[in-house]
Amino acid sequence: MTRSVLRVCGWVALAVALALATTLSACHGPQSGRGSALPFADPPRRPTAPVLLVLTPPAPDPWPVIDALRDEAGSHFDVFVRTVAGPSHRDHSSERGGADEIATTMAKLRPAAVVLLNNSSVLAYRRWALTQPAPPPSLILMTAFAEELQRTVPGSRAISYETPAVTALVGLRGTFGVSVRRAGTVARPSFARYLDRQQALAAVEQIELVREPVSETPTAEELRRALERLATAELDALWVLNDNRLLEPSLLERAWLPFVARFERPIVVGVPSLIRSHPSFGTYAAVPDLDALGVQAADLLLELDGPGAGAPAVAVHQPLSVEVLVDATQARRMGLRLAEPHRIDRLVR
Amino acid sequence: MPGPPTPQPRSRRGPSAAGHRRALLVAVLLAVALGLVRLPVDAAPGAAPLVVVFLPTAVRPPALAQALEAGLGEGIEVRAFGRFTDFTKAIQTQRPAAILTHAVTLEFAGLPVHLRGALAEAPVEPLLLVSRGEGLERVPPEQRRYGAVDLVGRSRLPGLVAQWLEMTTPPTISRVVKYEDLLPLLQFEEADAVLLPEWVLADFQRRSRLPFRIERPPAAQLQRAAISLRGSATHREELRRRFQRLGPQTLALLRIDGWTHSTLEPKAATP
Repeated sequence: MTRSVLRVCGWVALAVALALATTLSACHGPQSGRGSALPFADPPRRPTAPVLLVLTPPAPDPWPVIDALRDEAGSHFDVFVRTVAGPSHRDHSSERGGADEIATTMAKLRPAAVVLLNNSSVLAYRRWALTQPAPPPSLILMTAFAEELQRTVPGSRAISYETPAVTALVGLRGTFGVSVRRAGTVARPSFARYLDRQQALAAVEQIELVREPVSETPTAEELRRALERLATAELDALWVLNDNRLLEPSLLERAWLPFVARFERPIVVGVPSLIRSHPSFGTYAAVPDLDALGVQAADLLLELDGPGAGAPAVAVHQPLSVEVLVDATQARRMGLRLAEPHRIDRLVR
Repeated sequence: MPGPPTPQPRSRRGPSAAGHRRALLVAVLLAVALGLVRLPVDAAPGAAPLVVVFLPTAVRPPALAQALEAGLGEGIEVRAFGRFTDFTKAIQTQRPAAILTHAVTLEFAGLPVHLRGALAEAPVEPLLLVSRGEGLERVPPEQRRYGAVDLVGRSRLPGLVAQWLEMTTPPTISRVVKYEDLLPLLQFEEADAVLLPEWVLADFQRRSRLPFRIERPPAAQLQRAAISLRGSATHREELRRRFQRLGPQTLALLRIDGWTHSTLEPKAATP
């Protein structure tokens, strides 16, 4: 009884961590302002340098990205960093609050481009941008499923924060020296468009992505049945979407964990917490390399602001660089041997 | 408008002070020669000699730093960086005693080459121009976008690629920080072709099912790992010895099997 309670508590904690890592406060009403804890001082203003405004939540997670952005774009832009903090989930008092403060910042700094880190920054900025005839170009980073959000922000582009299935599955081939031609995934209907794109990208590498659909609010039994069907689909790997709803504690406990314990193929996840978990969940994770993400973002912004050929026309770019995490114990249980141990960023034993 | 630089006052020390300094210098040199004083090999006083590394390979920077630290022996600290900008910041702020990177990177940073790495006596390795099966012809030359690992910084990379591809105008570049990131550039069609060494292509062919088209631009030659040493001749000699004692396994991580010249006289790098 006690062990069971502890295990459930563990999964609740894991789910909370996962939610923090992926959803990132989408329902917060925003506030903006200069965060005293930010380690990024304002640069001295140069008369001819355009301003790049970075809007970030008051949390350290995006700091490596901001650091790289300032390094790589700082010779061209004067980079100013401002926080956008959201009130608690219960506070719905002001829909306009964040937008008003962003309006003040925009009027003062007059940025040539804006970087929006995290969902709360995007939502606050969007309220302001929708009132403007021509908002400056903006780049959305580190948000959950940026494809959907980007469409709603005028003048925006985005770099997706989910590692594409093709990147993770091709990485799996290299890490373990295994053939990956067919991978399965469970998905809710609201992820259909995202999965269409993933399927097309995976096809480039001759990987078939087998979808097993579940309803928008699946029960544990429904998810269990979907996973069982995938178990008989002759897969080389299971690719788990960063979908909080599918990874709720009750579903983890009653559907995922019993399946994971029996499944003999690598389980590919997109967040570090599912590799570090106990009991084991993911075998292999490919998560965005934040340093490289900052470089990719800086180059995109510099191309948008500079002369020449300009940035590629696509609105949402895929992250180019990932960090690799491996659960060595689970890999060993599945008979997998590391073909490239020197390429693993974190090996969890 | 700034005026001319203000002349600095000349030393007011007389000939006797200069004589004392010369005597002190001779005494110190004599003590060193007799082995009475053991000089540290670093340039930063009070700290372990620091080796700064920037060498994009298949090995992650922390693993490379760990292997080098073990190979160089006690009393040497190694910090490896995966991003060119972090590397240049480290050179400017951390006073390294040695800098290990590609010779072309040293050259662009204005640093002399003291040790030049080689594999099978070749100090350079050819770079390949790799595109997806349909090749580059489908894209007009002026619209082509090339993927490359950043070895010299964003502003200089197009010039380096133009040099490798013998182009008169620097092309548009998609730069990445790791060789493995060149594969997504091809998968997502964010570059029409990428420049990479042969060992990277072999790795891509193991993991990818993309149909690669491979060209060998004759001028695309990447100089292998090289070392620039700092500090006095004694310091540099000590570090040179340490690097030359590195075992074959550590050298293999640098993708070399030895050093082609080990003179302490700076030898200008050639692109």
